[in-house]
Amino acid sequence: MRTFHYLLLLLPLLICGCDATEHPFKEDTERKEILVYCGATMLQPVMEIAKIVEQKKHCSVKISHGGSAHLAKAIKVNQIGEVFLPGSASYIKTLQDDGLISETVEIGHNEIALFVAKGNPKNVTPDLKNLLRNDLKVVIGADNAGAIGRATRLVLSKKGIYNKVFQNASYITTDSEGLVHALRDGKADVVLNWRATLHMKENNLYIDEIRLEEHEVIREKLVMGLLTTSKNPELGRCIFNLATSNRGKEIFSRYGF
Amino acid sequence: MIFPSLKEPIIRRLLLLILVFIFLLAGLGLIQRQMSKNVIFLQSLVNNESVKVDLSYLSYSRLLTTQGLFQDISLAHTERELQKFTQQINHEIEDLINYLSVINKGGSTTHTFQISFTDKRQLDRSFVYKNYYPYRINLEVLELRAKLFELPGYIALFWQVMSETIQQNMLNDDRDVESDTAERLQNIYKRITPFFNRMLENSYHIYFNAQKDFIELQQLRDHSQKNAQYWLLVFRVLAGILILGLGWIIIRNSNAIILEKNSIQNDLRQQALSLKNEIAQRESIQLQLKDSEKYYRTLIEASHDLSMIINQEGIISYASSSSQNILGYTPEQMIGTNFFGYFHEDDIEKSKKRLNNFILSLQSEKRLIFRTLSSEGSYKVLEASVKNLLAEPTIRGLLLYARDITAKQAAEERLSQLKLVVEQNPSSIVITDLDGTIQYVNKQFEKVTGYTREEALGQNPKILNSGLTSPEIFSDMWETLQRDEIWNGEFINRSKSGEIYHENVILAPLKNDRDEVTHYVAVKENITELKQAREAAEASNKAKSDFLSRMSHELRTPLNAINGFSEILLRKNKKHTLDERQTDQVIQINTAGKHLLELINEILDLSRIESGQLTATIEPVVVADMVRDCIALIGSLALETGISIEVEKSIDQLPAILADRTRIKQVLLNLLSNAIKYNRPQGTVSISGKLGGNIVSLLVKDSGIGISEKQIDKLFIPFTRLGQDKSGIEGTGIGMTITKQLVELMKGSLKVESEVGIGSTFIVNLPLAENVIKQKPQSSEPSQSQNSLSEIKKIKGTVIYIEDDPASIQLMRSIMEQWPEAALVVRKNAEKGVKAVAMLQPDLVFMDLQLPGMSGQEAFAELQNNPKTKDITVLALSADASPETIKKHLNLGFAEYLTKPITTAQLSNTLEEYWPS
Repeated sequence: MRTFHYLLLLLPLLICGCDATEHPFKEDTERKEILVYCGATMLQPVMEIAKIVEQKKHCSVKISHGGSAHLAKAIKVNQIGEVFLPGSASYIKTLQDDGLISETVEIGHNEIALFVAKGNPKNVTPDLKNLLRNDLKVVIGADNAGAIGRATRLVLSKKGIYNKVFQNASYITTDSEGLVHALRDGKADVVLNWRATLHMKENNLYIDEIRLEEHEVIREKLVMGLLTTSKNPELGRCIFNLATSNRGKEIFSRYGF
Repeated sequence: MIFPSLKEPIIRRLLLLILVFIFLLAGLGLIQRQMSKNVIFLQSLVNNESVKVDLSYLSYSRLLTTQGLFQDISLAHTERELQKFTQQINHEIEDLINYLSVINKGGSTTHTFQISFTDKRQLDRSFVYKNYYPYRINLEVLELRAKLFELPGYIALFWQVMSETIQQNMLNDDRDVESDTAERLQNIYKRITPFFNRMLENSYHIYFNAQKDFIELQQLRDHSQKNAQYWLLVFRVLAGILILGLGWIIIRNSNAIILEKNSIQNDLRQQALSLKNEIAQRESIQLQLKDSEKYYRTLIEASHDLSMIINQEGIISYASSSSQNILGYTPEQMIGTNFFGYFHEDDIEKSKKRLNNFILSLQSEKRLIFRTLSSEGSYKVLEASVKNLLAEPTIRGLLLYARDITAKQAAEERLSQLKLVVEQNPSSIVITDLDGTIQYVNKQFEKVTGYTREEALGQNPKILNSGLTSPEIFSDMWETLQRDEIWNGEFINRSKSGEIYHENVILAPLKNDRDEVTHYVAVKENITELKQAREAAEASNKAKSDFLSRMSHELRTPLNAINGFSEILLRKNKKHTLDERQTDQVIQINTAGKHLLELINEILDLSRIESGQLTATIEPVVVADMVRDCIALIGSLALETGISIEVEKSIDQLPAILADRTRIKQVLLNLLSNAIKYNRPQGTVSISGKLGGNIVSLLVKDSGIGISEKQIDKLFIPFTRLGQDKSGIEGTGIGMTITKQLVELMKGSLKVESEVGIGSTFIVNLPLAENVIKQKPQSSEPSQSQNSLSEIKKIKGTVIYIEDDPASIQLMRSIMEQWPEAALVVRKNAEKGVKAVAMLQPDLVFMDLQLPGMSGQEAFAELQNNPKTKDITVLALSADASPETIKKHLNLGFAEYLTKPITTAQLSNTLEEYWPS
């Protein structure tokens, strides 16, 4: 009976010990968070790597994806984040000059090609001049937004037709994902995009690649950089190491890099 | 003297029991308070999150404003305008960055907005948001913030293009410069459009996530509220049971005390009689003393409190077993050690000093609070009662009863925080009992009403009743509360100082565990300023409508003269009184006047549609009749331009549609007019129809140049003429916008199919009328309603024109010259006009409505009231073309309502229609 009394006396004390002013979302925030900036084309392999690291290290990996130029600008402005993987190594170089990258490693490469709807219904040939055809809806990447836009400008300027193609374009989009959507949604008949996009989200069921003549092809190195702005450098390094490991290489090669 | 020694254990036991029950009740009360505190805390989080929702929505809207400003830059004509737009954009960017900072890290910001379009005063709204986890990464905020920093780059691009254009325009008036600028601007827009789309997407995600968190917190709060109510019930039931149990135990033990006392008294009497019995009694007492000692020891050992005896230096000579529970040390570990050795270092000297003072003061008891280090390494707060027993030979020390109050102290701190939340809440909070007697008010209530808490408690909230709140609102409130539901509404109250103010009130019944309503709680927001702002906005909207109406009137009056006289000049020029150059100039005046009139009409229509003033009267409309009416009206334009119009037989087979009779004609006329204007020479326009399910489609097909796929999207943007502004074809660029909006107003849709070089087809889809009206095929005779100038009917008689505008009078005189046998009598005010009508008994009266002194409407009423003049046909002729005014005057009895500017053809038709046969 006395024990029962003690229990009764202890119960309120135990309950009163709980904090009534604890934020209900506290659990969601107890994990450490890291931020990875990733060009749109590499999103899927980076997500796979992030998932492995989250399970291993009991942390949360957030991925900011989109046009690489925008991402580079975001790093400069916000001064936060652990890892940067742009669609072109040139963006790494810019950030290195600003002292924002401490270490780099080569992951693979991107290659530019023409893409059309499955079956090539508009008979597009492997010639960049197809982008000047009036009977085709053309969409290109913005040169100031992402790596594909920058590469598009480069390849078309070499041929002296960039301004004409820009005028002929129905609209401009920021990244490779936008170009794929334009094609899949029927808003474009032909686009210039990275070859690796064929491996994204079953795109190969809806779009066909038309490879360019070898002298017209542009290949961009894919380089991953470790940011000096990192608040959790050990977790950032974990992503970095996994991406360069055999397992990481296998993941990237599965997505066409 | 023996009696107290026997009574003491029972009383102490009872006291202990009472203490246990009090402690238990207090504990349960604490639980219940803890739950309530949690509810209030969650409510504060909900309020906090709602600030984030508002702030993210504001960011989204400011981003749209910024996008609009980028469009405005291209319209700059001077560097000063350029600088103005740039400053506005920079200001928007600065505010947006500020908002994002508050969303991401927490803090406060202020948004300044203008009360209304006309009222330039500004109001400030402040946002205070606390981010509980500011180190969390908010991707959307980071991305949007970075993009905002990129915007100045785009501004620089616009600057470069526009400043060059402005400079070149100042040097020469070259159209090539404009064309080049347009192309360069178009390129920049192409680049900036996806950029803005991403920013708007980011901004929308921030808003969406804020909404999601807000709803989740609301659900948590509701759940917690239910739990708190459940615990209140548990607390009350247990409290009742415990009080009853305690009473029962006290009664039972009281009997035992009385019985024991009687027994001892008997023993004492017997002791006096027998020494033998005295010895036996002494032995019995000794036995009881032993038991008593054992009892006390057990009691001390069982107690949760720490009992301890120390000497003056603090050396422990006794410690109860509860030391292990409280400090984690066994009594054996503690005995012989210095008690001050367990103290927090900040408390040692202070406590030693107080203990010495206590010993020196010769007081019997002292209360001390200090922190002690437990074996786990954590500090616990103990509250101790110290008794000075240094003089007691069996103890010779200081007796301490210490209790762990760590949790209690923390709970007290939390309770005081909770009080502050309610007390300092920005909303007024009032709690009443079921009779409406106020039992609690917070500080905001005092601030808003001017009544102090002492004044308000015990009063009825009726003290705030201003008498301005509708009794229906109170009835609705009581009905809602009687259904045990939450009522939300507005009161107009009066403060203590007599000031009237508006409140938004959420009134909820508070229920006990038996689901009985025990109290009402009201959370009230002072919305006086908000209401004033809303009223100001409504006044502004009315001012805008009045302005448009007045503008229309003021522009139509001079247009009446411009269009009328230019038409007369052209008509009279058949005798070649004007040379070729003059004729061309008059044609230009006439064309420009018509264009201006069309523009005014369409701007008014567009304004009415956008402000929701334009309503459609939906009724079954016979398609074939409507199409023929339109062909009759547009026929002359087709003849002038050499375009042939074909009405396919399918039109006659169509059932009736649901539409507004006037508006569907406006739609079809606009489509036909465009089909004729933008056709090729000797081209064709065909009208056909088809029925698909419950939808009737009307197709207007032309053989014009066609519209490219890219241009189709721009077709419905106001003032976009797809390059036709350089073609010389008249048009305002608003017609297609209005046409589309009118079709949508009638629950229909408008589609365009076009092929460059072949032509365009405009398809109007409208719902089928339920009661299908089968149409009779009708003859395609030309309409008789239109009267060409060559077929003017000869009229003879008198026309009175009541008008004060000299130009309009002159125009009417010129038009009426066609009927030399008809006398035109003019009166410049309504009083003279009414007299002239009564005296001359004219065949027709044209009446302007805005006249000096008596208005046209009043004059008409006077004519109607006079038996001599009531049967004379009176036609209104006014520059006010608003549909509401036209409808109003036709309902008053005017035979017709003509709007200025009036044409010769219109007047001719009107005279033919209304001239007495």
